[in-house]
Amino acid sequence: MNCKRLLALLIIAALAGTLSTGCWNRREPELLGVVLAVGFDYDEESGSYQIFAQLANPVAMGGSGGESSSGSGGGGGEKAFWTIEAKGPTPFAAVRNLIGTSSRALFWPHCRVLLLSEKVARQGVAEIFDLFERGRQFRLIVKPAVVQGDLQKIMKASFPLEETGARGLDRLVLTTRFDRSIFPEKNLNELIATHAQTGKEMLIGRLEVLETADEGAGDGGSSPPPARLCGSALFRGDRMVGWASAKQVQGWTYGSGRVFRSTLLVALPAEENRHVSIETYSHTARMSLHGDEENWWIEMKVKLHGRIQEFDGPGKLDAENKLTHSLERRAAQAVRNDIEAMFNRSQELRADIFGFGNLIYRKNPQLWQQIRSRWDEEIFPQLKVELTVEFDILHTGMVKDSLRED
Amino acid sequence: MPQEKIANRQLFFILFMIRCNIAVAFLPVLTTADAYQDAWLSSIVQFFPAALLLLFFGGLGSRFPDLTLAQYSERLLGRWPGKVLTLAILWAFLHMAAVEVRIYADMLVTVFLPDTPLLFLITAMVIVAAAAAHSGIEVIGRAADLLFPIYLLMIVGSLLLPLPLLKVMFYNLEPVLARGFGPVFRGAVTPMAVIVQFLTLTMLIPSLNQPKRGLRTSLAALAGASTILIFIAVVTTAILGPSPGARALFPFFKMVRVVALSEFVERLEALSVFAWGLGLFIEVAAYLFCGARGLSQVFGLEDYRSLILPMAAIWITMGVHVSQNAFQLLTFFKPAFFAPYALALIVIPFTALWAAYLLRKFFRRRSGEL
Repeated sequence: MNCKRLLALLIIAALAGTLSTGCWNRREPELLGVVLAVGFDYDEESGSYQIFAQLANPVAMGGSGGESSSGSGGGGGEKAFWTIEAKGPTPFAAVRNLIGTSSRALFWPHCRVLLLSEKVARQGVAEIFDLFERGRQFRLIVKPAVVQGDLQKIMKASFPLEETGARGLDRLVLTTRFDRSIFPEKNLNELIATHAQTGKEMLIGRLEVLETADEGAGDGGSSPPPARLCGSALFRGDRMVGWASAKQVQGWTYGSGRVFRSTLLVALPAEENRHVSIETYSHTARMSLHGDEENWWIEMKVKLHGRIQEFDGPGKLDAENKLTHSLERRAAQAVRNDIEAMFNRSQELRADIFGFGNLIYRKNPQLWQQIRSRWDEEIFPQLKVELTVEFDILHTGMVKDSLRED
Repeated sequence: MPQEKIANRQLFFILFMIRCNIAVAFLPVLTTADAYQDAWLSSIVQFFPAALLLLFFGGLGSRFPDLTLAQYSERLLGRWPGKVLTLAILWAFLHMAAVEVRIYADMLVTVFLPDTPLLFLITAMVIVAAAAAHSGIEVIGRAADLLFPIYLLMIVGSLLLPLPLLKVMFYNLEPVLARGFGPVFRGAVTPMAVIVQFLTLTMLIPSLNQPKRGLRTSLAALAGASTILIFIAVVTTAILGPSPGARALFPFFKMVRVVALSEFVERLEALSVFAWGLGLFIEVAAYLFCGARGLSQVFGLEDYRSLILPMAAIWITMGVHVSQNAFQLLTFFKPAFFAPYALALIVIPFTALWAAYLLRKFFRRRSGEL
């Protein structure tokens, strides 16, 4: 009996503790500075990292004050976000040095965008990746991009339709990804997994800062967009080695099976100065290794499905005919050109972003053991890949022929 | 006092959660050795030696369906050697429970509650488990009944959610067996030795509805948990990549954390932490019950309940002091350390018991013939 009473007392005491949890080490939302986007730059002279953190500014948020969030933001205090910066010898030291400039404790889990300046990318991103992997508050679902242009400017820029700049960047990635395949969308976890694999290099999308007039110049509906997602940065190890254009990135998405939707412009067979737009919407891509250790080759097979998006005649699209076959061939050739463009670019930079080395490692580890030391410098730059592209046009849109009379 | 009974189904749930929780905690197939992308093969391989060990120490229980280990060891080996041997097994319960509570508390401190003292987290878990153990095995069994579906749902849910990502990430599982079977076996060592947890079976068999089928039930639990383990290993390795996965302290948790299917379906780690906590509760309650029951039988006490509170206090202290830091926990589960330790706890006592049992049987038969 006594024991039971004691136990009951103990449990009640323990439960009583739970009633007061709100007061011990509490972190009230109104005391937190929620970081929405983070950017890293590197200063070679002092050898230090520079960090920009964009915080949500709840004081300006939500309130429907017309001019506050619509991009006109003259004074910094009116924007729904606030960008602060600090320097430090390591990324984490830079993060620590932010403290002291922010009146609220920094809160990182909601950070969705990680921007890397070209300098920091060329200097090496492993330290930053480690910070995100190890740190308790950082998430690997953050979306990274390499910034071409002024990092500080984009960290402070606002997007006309969005409340905060970070939200704008985040939406930019999603919107772009759904309609065009010019930006490789990968979260940090996938990049880290790629970096850790042998024979496969990272590809991080490019954010191009647009040369716009000084902020505040454009008013209301006429403010120009602050940035454009387009192309990507190629890496070797954790260091960036060069840029790839939008066309080349499309090639990468075709070759690696990552196309969501992508548009091809194909010249008409009859009249070379007229074009047809064909949108691809589903596809498969497969790489395979053939042969033995003495004599091996790599095949890449890409099959795409598309629909006609824009057609300006002449010709009939009411049945499978010469024209459709010709369009399919031309579309396939266009895809092949893109893939080859990216392939050549990657060979030029010796950055095996398709992961041909990884393919060999996966399919024939013995072979990989033999060639891995020579791969980057000798074999990969000379590599020939047998590329086959098939293209099927499955739909013509809502009409058949063009408006133009033949 | 009528003996409390649990159904074999409930035993299955308890053992399943005990076994599965280790994989949810730190996925030893991936993190303790160099199996990397072959970790899922290790998960298959570990089942067989683990099952053999289980048959080895569970087999005696079927021969004494009404007795716990504490009782039949005294009968087989004599009073004092039997007591000493039982204490060794009870130490295993204490130690494993302390280590597992500690890992959980460490995870909470690492990820969610950096300033909370370990003592508080460990105490919270042990006190709840002590309350369950005090209420008896029936209550633990019913709690297992209630929690198991939730537990399984959360784990299977965390495994299904990343499926859309799997297609792209599947290359992380290749090459298969590139370095031969060596790494696969090394990866299987610690999970195999973790079967030491199932020593609880030796204390629970007399509480079963059908004690004769206890061994079969626990084999089923082992098989079920190993199946889940295979899936956890496959999904975790594929999503994180072999070496980032092996580098992670809590790979399953890390995997759930990086799943972001859309703007809304993300940050689902609560699933895995909840499952882990629920499983741990059942686990610690079972350990505590078995420990207290065993101790009361060793010292000839009428009721084990009076032991629960002091034991819980020891458990808490042990949980805090079982390792000084994260490194010691990691070293503890290294195959070279953990396997000899666990095997010694299983093989030495049970070889003695089997020897005594077989000798007794042999002499009985001879005397019968005479």
